[in-house]
Amino acid sequence: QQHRGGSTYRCPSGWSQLDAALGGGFACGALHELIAADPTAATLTIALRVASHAAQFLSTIQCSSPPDQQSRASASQSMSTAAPPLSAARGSWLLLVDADGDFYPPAAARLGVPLSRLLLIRTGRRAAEIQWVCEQALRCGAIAAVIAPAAHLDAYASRRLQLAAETGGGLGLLLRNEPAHGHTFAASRLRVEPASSPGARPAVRIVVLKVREGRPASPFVIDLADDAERLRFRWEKQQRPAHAG
Amino acid sequence: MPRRMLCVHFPHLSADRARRDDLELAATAEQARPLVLTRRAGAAVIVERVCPRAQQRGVRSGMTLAQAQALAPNLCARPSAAHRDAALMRRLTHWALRFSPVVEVFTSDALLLDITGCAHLFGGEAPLARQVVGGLAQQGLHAKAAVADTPGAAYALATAGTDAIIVVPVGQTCAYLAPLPPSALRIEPHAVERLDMLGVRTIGDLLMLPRSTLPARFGAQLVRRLRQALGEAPEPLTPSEDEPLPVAQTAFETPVRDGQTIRFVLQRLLNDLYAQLERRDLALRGLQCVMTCEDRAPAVQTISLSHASRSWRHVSSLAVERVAQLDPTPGVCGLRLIACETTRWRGVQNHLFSSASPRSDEEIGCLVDRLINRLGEAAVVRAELVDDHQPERAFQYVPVAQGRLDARGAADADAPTRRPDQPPPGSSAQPRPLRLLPRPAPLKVIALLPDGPPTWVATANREYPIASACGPERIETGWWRGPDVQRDYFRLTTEHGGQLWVFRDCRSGRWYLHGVFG
Repeated sequence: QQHRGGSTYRCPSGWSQLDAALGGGFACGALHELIAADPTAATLTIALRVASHAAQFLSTIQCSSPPDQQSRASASQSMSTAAPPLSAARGSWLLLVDADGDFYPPAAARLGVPLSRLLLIRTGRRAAEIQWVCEQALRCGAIAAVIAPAAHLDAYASRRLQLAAETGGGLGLLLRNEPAHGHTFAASRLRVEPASSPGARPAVRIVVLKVREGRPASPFVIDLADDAERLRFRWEKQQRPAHAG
Repeated sequence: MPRRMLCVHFPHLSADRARRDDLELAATAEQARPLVLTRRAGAAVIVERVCPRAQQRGVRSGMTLAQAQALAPNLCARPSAAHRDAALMRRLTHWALRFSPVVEVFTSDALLLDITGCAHLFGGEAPLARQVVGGLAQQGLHAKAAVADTPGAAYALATAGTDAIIVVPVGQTCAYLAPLPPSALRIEPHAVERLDMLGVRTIGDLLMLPRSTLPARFGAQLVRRLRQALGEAPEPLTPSEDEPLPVAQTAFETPVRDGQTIRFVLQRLLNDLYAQLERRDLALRGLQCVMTCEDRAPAVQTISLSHASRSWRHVSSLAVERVAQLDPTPGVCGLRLIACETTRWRGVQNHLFSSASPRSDEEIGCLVDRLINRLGEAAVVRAELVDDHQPERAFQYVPVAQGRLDARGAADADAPTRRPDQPPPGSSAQPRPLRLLPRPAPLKVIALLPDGPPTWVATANREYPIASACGPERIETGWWRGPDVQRDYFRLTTEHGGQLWVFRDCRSGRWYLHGVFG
């Protein structure tokens, strides 16, 4: 379900602790940075999960009119009973910039990412090109989320991308490696480290470095395998009525 | 060689065209509904054209829509569009070129083909006429055809004749024309009225009147048409020519080397081209820019759009960027823009409050065009899963430029609620890493057992002590596929918590890092 925290729509990530730390979810129409403490930290998993949720939910709500104009009374309405939309609905395409050429689509399909609506941009590592692609994609209203590596992004570039995200209404998820210093104009900044958990389940420890309109929480650990199991269980459950019939 | 003419008459052209154009009406369930085309006369809506079913119910042209709906309750009404009918006739002349090189739009609802010498290629005049009528029926158009010596006779028989296909043998025009009414000769209405008042009901009767008295009583046109129908006076045809591609070009007097001048001229040529496209009701799908330079072969850049587009700003930005990539230093003598791929423009009116997203299709199409324009076609791809055990072959990249960007169809195929019974191809029960190295990296490994999972691995720049391992997963490909692989894959969890996907090649016993779960 959608939460109205403050004045923007928020997209759920699938992990309740993460949503709570960000004040309801990832803010739409904004840039978010995920900083990997380690090359094995699972930033891409988190980013893809959030992006696939965004693709599903953003196509059913209206985002082009600024949410400030809408009344607070509608905040408690669920999306299925919403009033007729005031403008054309957002599209539901995803864009991923694959700079290193090591993206593996079958794993993304397992996570629940719709491959037929995922545009893969295979550029080299040139920062100017990656930034141009991100800006064009974020400005386009039909794109729900953009995932890109942002190795050499300075404050000026992040400001441009934040403005582009506000225009387009989608999510911008930038993945960086440590060290990341300097001011950023992104709406939130998360540091992701691999964490060990019992039973060899993949887990990460998240430190919220910056969040707009939310309460910075203490570091917490989330279990990555959780959502995949839940997704698969939901899929199997839906198949059962067909078998029974 | 006697001249032979084939005339094709469309008795219900407007209704058929409206059925074809409107996707709602073309659905099989709606075919049975009567259809009328209407126009506004002040506040009232008057029926202008009717389809055969509506005619059966008694609806006639000239009635108000309310009257028509009283006669046929499940009536469909659409506004009549004469320009669309005319455009359809133009397209049909192109279609009819396969039967004869000389095709003319004779009247607003009849085509004339000159089939002198063409009939033997189709096995005779009657088979040719049958092919024409059959081809039109496949396109959803009712048609009647007649073959005669003269255009006038052929038109008269096609319009007023009783059979769907009439072939008049050479020299027997008079006999076939005799039973037809005089209005079939394309004469003015007042002449038709006067003939009717006098009791001249058929052309046969008309022919019995003394020819010299006719001009004074009914006008010169009647006699001219009569003579043309009988073959005594010539009636020339003006065949419609194939319209050339929209082109805008300019030549410079002295070679130009300045990029800014070229951009300015390019914009002017683009505006000229857009005007041509708008006049012809076309949308652009492919544009070719040819820059002729002195002492060099002309440089060509082709831009193809993913979506037939009429947003000129978008096309201009793409064209300017592409032409800027051409090198003007040798001196540009001329610039030529050709709209090499065009489609018919069907303007769709969006509802103000609807949530359907045709705009979203257009937006994504524009974005993909911009990305392909700058990065090249191979850089903008979509992934497709392939049914293959070998991990690096379990997917393939398909350039977006080749496929269609269908917003709705693609969504249905992959929505989790509609997944088919089997799991999607290329997926397996075991988890797969999100990052797969293009080439497996060799590892140094310490393991307790030679076949067992390792407890410590090291790549070229890092070491990873291992806390736990899942596996082995044996992946083998068949020997018949060429170089085959036999690998034991392990999912290793390091002590820090990250997960790696390594394998041991069963042949060589070496360990490799294939992917990272990140």
